[in-house]
Amino acid sequence: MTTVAAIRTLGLSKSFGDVVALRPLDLEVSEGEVLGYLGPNGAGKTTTIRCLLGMIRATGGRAEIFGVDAQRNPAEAHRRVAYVPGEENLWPGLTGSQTLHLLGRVQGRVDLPYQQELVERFKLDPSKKVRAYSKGNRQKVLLIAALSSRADLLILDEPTSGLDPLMEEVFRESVGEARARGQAVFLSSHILSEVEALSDRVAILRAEELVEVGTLAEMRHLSALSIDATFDGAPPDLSRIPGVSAVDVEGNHVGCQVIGSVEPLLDALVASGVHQLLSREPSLEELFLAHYGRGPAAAQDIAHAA
Amino acid sequence: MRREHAIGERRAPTVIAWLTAKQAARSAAVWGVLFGLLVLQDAGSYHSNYPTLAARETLERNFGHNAALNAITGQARRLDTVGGWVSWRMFGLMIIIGAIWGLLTASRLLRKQEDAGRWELLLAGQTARRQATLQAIAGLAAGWVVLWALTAAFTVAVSSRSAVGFSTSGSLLYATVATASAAMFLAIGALASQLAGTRRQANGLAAAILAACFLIRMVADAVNSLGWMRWISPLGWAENVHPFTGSQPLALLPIALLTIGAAALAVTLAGRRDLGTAVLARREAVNQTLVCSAVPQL
Repeated sequence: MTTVAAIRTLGLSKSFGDVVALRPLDLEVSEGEVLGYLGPNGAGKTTTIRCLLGMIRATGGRAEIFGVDAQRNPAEAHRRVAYVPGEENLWPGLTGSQTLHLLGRVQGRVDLPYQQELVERFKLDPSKKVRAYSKGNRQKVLLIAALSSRADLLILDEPTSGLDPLMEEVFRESVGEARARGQAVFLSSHILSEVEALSDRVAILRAEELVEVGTLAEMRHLSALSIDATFDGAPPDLSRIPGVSAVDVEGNHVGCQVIGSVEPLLDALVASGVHQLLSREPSLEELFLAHYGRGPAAAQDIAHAA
Repeated sequence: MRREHAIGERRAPTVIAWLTAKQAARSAAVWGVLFGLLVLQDAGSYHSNYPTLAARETLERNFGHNAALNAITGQARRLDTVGGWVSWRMFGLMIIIGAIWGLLTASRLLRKQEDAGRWELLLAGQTARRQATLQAIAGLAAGWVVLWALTAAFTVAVSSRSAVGFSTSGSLLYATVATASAAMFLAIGALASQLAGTRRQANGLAAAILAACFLIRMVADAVNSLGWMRWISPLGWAENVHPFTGSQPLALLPIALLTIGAAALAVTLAGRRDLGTAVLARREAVNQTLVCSAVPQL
């Protein structure tokens, strides 16, 4: 038996009138895979998810969930999906446990012992009314509801935006467990560390368009190397050396990124009497900067994510 | 797989219908009891307030043909009978309250859910936009049944008193007329929830339709020669039934047609539009979505 992809899109696109929300997207998520769907706010992540779930009509292309056309037959496609939306909107008058019960019925499947375990692990007090919950607690309710369905595909839209670091750790563990059980996870996020920690592969979306898909290792190969150098005296001007960018001088210390061969840079460093040299693989954060440049908006976005 | 079995899978869950029905029934029960008590009180006191035939004829003479009064309260007919009296006294009030309840309830359980982002959660279940709206409308219908059943129960209860002497079928018809506008405006509210982009706008649209219906009905009841205009106002249709005073159940037909037609159109439109958008003022809705999702533009 050939395995059917959890998600497959072919030229999936969406426009609202003249406004393009998503350019033709080809993407595949295998069973048991965690795909990080990374992009700044407004890049089209939520649009992608709503097309995938058949909540909005795609302007073009196809979206399949386990081989079922999600645009034509969303009810059938949703049978194996659990979804956590980006905004944690719940019924203010219901308690946490009433909400979990309701969402379980919406989902159609609940593993109650696992749900109980998740409630304890996330330290949620389910007896309180939703209106008394913080943003983080509402987020927990949604996560617990989705995870306890044990759906074959979890679609999570910015799932940790309100969680504190401790709870984020619990979230990461549970996603790890889901993957270990063979569930696929589509994790939309602009939080780089989260995607870095959880994903098998990363898809990067920029300005409504997919710019990059690959494993983190593949991405690193494509991108820059980060260099930190300390000099005995005044540092030389490195910005003219081929392949070097993002030069940041601070006293006798220089940070920069280099794409392609490091030889010209090394020659220059040696000639200028480098005292200490540190080179490392860039973090996902830096990958992101390589894609989007150092625009003020990008910097703001990163600051927000950090 | 045993595991799947233990988890317990349900096919085609009707959770949206149940959720909507529960919320609609709660307010329907309050109004149903109130409608019932009004009928009970008014029918029960008729004979003690107007004990003689002469008193009743005076009543008919004073209020039965007063055009200005009819414009507000609706057409009076046979005020010298208890059936004519409770119809005239109650319909004007119940039909307006019912219509307002209907339009507010529909927009609260459809457009407001969508505005608040909860509709998205419900849509993620084993359903789609069209089916989900159909379920919600079935839930609204259940709410109407509660309103009708309580009104009917009180009316049947009062009919058993010898002095009142309503027939059971007349009592049921009375409850149907009293709640007919609620049914029509639940459907119109559901339709407005598809047409308008926010709950406020949906309420405004449905209320404007109600106001137009009311104005036409006013003119029809105030000016004798314009009585035919009752047939072009849904509120006039309800008046034309006359459950106790020469009943015309056929007048229920346009009411049923309007209710079913508006509900069906609402379901169709819901299937055709994107989550969070409106059929009217599409551009505006889109701009709102974009503003919300596009904050740090790169």
